[in-house]
Formats: sequence, structure tokens, C-alpha cells
Amino acid sequence: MDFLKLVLQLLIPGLCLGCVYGLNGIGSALLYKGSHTINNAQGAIVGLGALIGYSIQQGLKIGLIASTAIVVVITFFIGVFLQVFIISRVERRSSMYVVIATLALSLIISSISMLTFGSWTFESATIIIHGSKYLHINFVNVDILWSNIIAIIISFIAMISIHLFLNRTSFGMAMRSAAMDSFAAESCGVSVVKTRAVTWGIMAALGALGGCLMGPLFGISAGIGIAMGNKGNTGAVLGGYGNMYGAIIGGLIIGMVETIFGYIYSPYQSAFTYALFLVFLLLLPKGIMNEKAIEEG
Amino acid sequence: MEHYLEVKNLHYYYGQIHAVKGIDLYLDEGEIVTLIGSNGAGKSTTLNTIAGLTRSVGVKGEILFNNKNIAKKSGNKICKLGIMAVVEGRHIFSQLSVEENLYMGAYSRKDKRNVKKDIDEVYELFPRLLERRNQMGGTLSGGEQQMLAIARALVNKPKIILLDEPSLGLAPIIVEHIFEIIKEINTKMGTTILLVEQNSKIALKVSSRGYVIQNGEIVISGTSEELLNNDKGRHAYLGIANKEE
Repeated sequence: MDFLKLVLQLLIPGLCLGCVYGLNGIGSALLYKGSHTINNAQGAIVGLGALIGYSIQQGLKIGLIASTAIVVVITFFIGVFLQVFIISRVERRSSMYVVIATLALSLIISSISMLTFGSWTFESATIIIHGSKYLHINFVNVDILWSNIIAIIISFIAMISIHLFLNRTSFGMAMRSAAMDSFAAESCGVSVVKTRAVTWGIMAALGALGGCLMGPLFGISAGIGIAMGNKGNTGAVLGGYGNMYGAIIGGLIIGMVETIFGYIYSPYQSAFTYALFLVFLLLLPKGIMNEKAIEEG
Repeated sequence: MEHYLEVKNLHYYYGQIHAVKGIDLYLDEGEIVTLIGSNGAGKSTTLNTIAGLTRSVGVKGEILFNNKNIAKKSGNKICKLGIMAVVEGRHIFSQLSVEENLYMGAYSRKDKRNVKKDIDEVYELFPRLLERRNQMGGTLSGGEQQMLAIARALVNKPKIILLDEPSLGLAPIIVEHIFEIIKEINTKMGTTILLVEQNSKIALKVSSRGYVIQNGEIVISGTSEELLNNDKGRHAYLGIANKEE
């Protein structure tokens, strides 16, 4: 019974972390597939989104889920804005320029967040059901945070929605086509300018969604997103860079591994996780989904 | 006289490189016209520029379609006007099925209801694609990919098709088959076609007129018969041996 208790106590937070990494990884995978580049500003956007979420909670006196929904919309437009006014102009020269430009953006956005909201950690609104923050499971006598459970559920809903959007809608198909062959897509009447902007919108919105859902666990600060952005990206590489489903699986694996290492010896939590990631890369460079994206360059 | 599509003094610059140097050509409705030239002569650049697939900063000159200047418009807008490019190297969506590829061809169509019927019509023209409708585009052979690229353009019901080197890398028997279909598209659907080819002999056989492009300039133009019988042209530009040889 103690073992079952331990498993549950590790599984739920691990799954929760993994989902958030997965959400970040989806954007990273879509961007890599479509533009062969990396968004270093993802973490900063996530942090900004979480802070905006906190101000909405305070200002409008609304709960976690409602404020998160508003943040998703706002950050979608932030992503589109960044792509249209900065990234698309830099991208014309080389995808490498985007790597550096987003590094600059990351520092700028973090600084603006820090100056506006300060450098401390705020307490996020949390989920309370039947007057309690916890779900008590009687037969193993364990308490699980409702906000963890809700975060997992919302993340999965978001992932399924993105899957359906990309596979079942006309614009989603256009986005996939443009990612496969932008030249051909343009010749078929797809505005590649639009699909790239929407890719950035989705990337920012999914990341911020993850950031907001993590608020009750870690508290909200400007730096909350940095690890999420990085690990989301790492998960995407682990899953096979450029493959959205791989990114989700990769993110889940990183979240679980990190939680287990955290339980075994927490000071080396991240170091162990990344060491394992490197070993994995050496053995299986194409990632779990065997994506050819990297070789094709 | 007004022409359906008219290119006037078109230039294209890749940065410092002047790739197309003042080209004039026209298409009348229902024609097949061939643009012939060797590698690097500027024929693909000309076609891509008409289709709006080159960077607009490099474009100078006029492209008139129904008397409206469409130069510098982006590719998706040109497609919506009814000018569909089948670009060189086929460029099909490798991770979409054959049928999904065809649906992408109809992306800009407003009458989505009729698309299915039109795809069935295209399958009649290319029975091979019907057999492989659920296969991923990337798994098709070269000839099948070329058929898919042409079929995908047809689903959009274009007024003009710009076809870039449909014979590229294909076995002679498949090339012949593809050119038969090109002729059929022209006669049955009335689609106007601009063909860009290195394989001048077969291209001139199906077209009514032709232009020869060299170093970014038109050097000879005329009816296909004139071009085929022009000794100087045959030898120097078309790569066809003279009769006596």
C-alpha cells in the first residue's frame, strides 16, 4: 500500500509537469518542422503569460481556469505579433538569425516582465473543489492537488484540440502542408505568411497555457517559464524533432524522469535528467518517433 | 490586340544577379505555348515570377492577366486568380496522402461542395492516382508524383496552368504519356497552358507556339512548326540534330 501511495504521489505531479513540457514542445516541434528554427523566447513568453494571468486573477477577481482562457487568447496574439513584425523579417536571411533574434527577445521580454511585475513570486489562484485544494483518495490515504488533476485534463484537451485542428480543418491542413513544402503550399493558394504567424500564435498560447496551469504548484514569477521552454524543447528533440506527437511523448518522459530523480536526490534533479537526455540522443539521434527532420535540414 | 496573359519587359534579379532580362511573351486563351531553354537560361525563374513564387523585390516589368497587372502579387493571390503553377521538381506534400494532396489543390476554392466530384474527374484522367489514393505522396514513383502535381493543379479548375519541366527525370514512355494528358487537358477542359521544357521536341509537338530563351532573353519565337524547321534554332537552341546529319 505504501508503494502504491508513492507511485501515485510521483505519477500525478510527473504527469502534470510532463504535460506542460509537452504543450511547450508542440510549438517547438511545429516551428522546427515549418521553419527549421528554434524559438529561444518561448520561456520568456510563458513567464509573461503567467504574470498576465496573475494580474487578471487579481484585477477581475476570477479563478484559475477563466483567467487562463483569457491568457491563451492574449498570448496567441503576442505570438502572431512577434512573428509578423520581427521574426518574419529576420527569417528572410537565414533561420540562424531567428535563433539569435529570439535570444534577444527572450532577454527583452524577461526584463519587461521583471520591471513591470517585480522579481518576486506571486501566489496563484488555485482550484478548490468541495471546499478543499486536495482530492483525498481513501484506500491509499493520499492527497492529490486538484490543480494537478485539472492541469492534466486541460493539457490533454488542448493537445487533442490541436491534433484535430491540424488534421481535420482546412486551415490546419494548410499549416501542415506549408510546413512540409512552403513553395508548393503557396502555389496551392495557401498564404504561408499567415500559416507561419498562426504557428507562432499557437506556440505562444500553448506555452502560456502550461505556465498558467503550473502557477498553483510553483507560484508565479517572471522566471517560471524558462525551464518550461527549455524542457519543452528538450522533450521535442527527445521525441523526434519536428514531430508534434513525439514532442508530447518526449515531454511526458522528461516530466516523469525529472520527478523520479527529484524524489531520489533532488539537488541533481535537472543534471540527471539532462544527462539521461544526452545518453538517449547518442543512442537514438532521430528520437522516439524516428523523425527525419534533422538530417534533411 | 489584347492577350489573355501578357508579359511585358519582365526582369528578375536574384540580388545582384540579373536572371531574366526583359522578356516579352503572351498567351491567348486556349493555347499551349512552350518556353524552351537550357539549364540556367531563366525559364523557371520566368515561370515562378508569373506565378508569384519569387521574391517580389526582384521583379521589374509588367504581367498582365485580363488586362490587370499581377506582377509582384504573392503566390497564393495569383492562385486565387486562376493561374496555377506546377513547379519544377514536383513539390508534392510527401506526408499527405494522394487524396489529401488533391484536396490541398482545392484549398482556395469557394465551392467546396463540388470539389469531390472534380477530384473524381481528375481520377478518371489519372487512374493510377485512384489506385494509390490512400498512399502517402512521398512513396509514389517519379512519374506518379508528376501526375499528382498536375492533378492537384487541375482540382483548382485553373484558367491557366504553368507547367515547369514535366518531363524532368522521367522515362521516355512516361514522358509521352504525360504529354498526351497535357494535350487532353487543353482540348477537353480548355485550359490555357504555358509549358517550360528542355525537351523541346515533344513540347513543340503539343504546343501551337514557342519561345526560345537564352541567358535570360528571348532569342527566337514563332509557331511550333517554324521553330522545328528553323535550322539555326534547331541546332543551336533546341538540341535537335539537322536532317542531313
